[in-house]
Amino acid sequence: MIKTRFTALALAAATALTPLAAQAAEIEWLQWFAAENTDGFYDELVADFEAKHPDITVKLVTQPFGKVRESIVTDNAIGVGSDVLGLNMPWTKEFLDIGILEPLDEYLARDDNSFATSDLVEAPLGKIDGHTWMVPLNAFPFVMHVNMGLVRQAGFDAPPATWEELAEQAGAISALEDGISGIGMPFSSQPPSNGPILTFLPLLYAHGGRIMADTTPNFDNPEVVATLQFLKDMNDAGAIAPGAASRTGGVDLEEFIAGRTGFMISPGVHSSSITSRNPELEYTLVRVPTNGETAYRVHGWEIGIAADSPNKDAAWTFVNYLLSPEVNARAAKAANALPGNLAALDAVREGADETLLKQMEILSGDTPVEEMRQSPKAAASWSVMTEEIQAMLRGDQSPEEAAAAVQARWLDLAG
Amino acid sequence: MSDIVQPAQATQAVNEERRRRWRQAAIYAALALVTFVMVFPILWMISVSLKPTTETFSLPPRLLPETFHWDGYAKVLTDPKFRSFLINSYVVGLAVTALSLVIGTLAAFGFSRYRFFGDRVAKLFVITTQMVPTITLLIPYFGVIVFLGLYDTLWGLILTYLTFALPYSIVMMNGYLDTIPKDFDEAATIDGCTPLGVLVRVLLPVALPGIISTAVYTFLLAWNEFLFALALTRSMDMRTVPVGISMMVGEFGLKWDEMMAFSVIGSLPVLILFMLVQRFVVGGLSAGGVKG
Repeated sequence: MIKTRFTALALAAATALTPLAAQAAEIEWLQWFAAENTDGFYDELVADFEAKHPDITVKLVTQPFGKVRESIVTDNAIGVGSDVLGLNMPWTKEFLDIGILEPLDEYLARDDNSFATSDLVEAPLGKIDGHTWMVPLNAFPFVMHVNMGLVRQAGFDAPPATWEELAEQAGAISALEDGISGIGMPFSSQPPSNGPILTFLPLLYAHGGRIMADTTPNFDNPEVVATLQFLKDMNDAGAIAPGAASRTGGVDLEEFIAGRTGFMISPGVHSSSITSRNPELEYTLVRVPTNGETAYRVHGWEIGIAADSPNKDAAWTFVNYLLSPEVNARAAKAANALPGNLAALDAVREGADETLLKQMEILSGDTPVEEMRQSPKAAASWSVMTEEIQAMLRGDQSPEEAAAAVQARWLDLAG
Repeated sequence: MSDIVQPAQATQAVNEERRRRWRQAAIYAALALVTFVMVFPILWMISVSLKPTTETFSLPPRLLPETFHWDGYAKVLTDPKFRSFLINSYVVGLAVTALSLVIGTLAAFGFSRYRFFGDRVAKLFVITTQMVPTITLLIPYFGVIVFLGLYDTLWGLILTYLTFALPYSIVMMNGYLDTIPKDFDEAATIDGCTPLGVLVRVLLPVALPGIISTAVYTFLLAWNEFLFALALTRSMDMRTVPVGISMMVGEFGLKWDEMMAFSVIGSLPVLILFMLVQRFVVGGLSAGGVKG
């Protein structure tokens, strides 16, 4: 009797729960963020979201950064693409050509969003083909990391603030002893290093230059040539670490951490690796040396929704959750980054370490720039840039010739 | 006369012996050099796994760490994610090995012992499948595995690797079975053995070195494969060791000690397996190669 009642009760419970289960939407989030030193954070984030939204389940799909772009393209081609996509701004145009991304304008215009669009970091929001395609989870502004020990040994009291000072100090540091270099320039073409976008573009933006005119390549302009000339002069003077053409971003970071490079231009997020792995290093970070301009290159972790997702509303509910100031602040802290939603800045500031506070202070009045997102075939474009700059550093061509060659090849790529 | 010849012969013998020793010394030196080139990356991998990252890039480079640093191993051995990568690799490797041995041996038995319509064409087809670069098959395989509902499952990987391993297994086992005289089969048949009995009771025990070398090759193929493992799985609990290692190459840096510690742990089963059976592997390869 008891058994029969128990069975009936179980059946009734199962029947009552079935409609709920049937309504639950499962969405997939493909990203590389969970593989980036944020042990367990994203699993907790997903669990928190699911607790607050019992009608949606999220499957976290993590790929290594170097494979995410290929995965998104391949998954889309086969029809097994994820609903929410972790994105890198330079991939934008290529993904639009394949039709992978859903325009977000209508979602951003909703009244019940947990954030104000005007509070989001601007760079990823810029319209391409008349629409906004992604929103920023985090922002990683480019800064210059400084080994103050080497700066002092070379006879200077303060880090360089202008190009002239950078060239002078980098040259003096290189002259200190064998194996020590003024500045690292990772111009390897090996992905995911992406050479010039790590060092050349931040210097160009600090000089007031740009490489695109809207969505048209504009590489052969005087600012670009001046920046290339600056790199060439530093290289000829021996201020740049040897082997730039094969140096990856990873090697550049390791060399800096080991104390063998005076300066390194890279995202501010590297400060946590530097301070945790070599606490002995006399370290600080500063704005990329400028010629009066205050623009900086910004990189970030962006989020978009797949055009063929069958659960776009559920996907947006999740994106909306990630951009709420409280959650966005947690995500920024976990990655030692600035938040994509600037309304979360105060929350990030609380308990932030000194290097993050310094980034906020340095960059508070500057303009974030990211142009590669407008570039057609960005990956091929930065390969072209890498090859021509490598040829220039080898002495095979002048800065003017390098700029002209990149421009011509970019126009070919754009078709 | 003999008094004159003897010292000349002795001198010639001494010279010959000296030349032989020089030749041997040169061969040993060359072998030592090749061994060093082959072994050095493994030694460096072990060295880096035991160093803090700051020491990894110290100049001049040091093979022996200043202090042994076990954090990478501690992290890898205590994280359930890494245990899952190892278990998946074992499951896939062992399943592919077992299936390719069973199917490959049966197919090889057919090719070796029977003549049937189209057998030469079939054999040629098996060999030519080996000549297609696997990268070109990625997208078609992806589509087939999704169509079969095996995407993001270990069965999908097992099926895929089986198609890579089977041609090799068939060719290897066919070559090895061809070296065994057919008189064995006839004697066993007269004694009442069925064809399957002949294979299991008579041929397989003799073909053991061939079976072991085929098994080792198949296991290595499944254990080390990266590209398809990355493309055909997406859940963390379906990943294998090579994909797990690649997850440590981040956008903003590498966890050198953890990556190398996991690489050491991931290489150990293969190294131990190969050391245990290398005698058979060499024997099996050469026998199959001569008679194939």
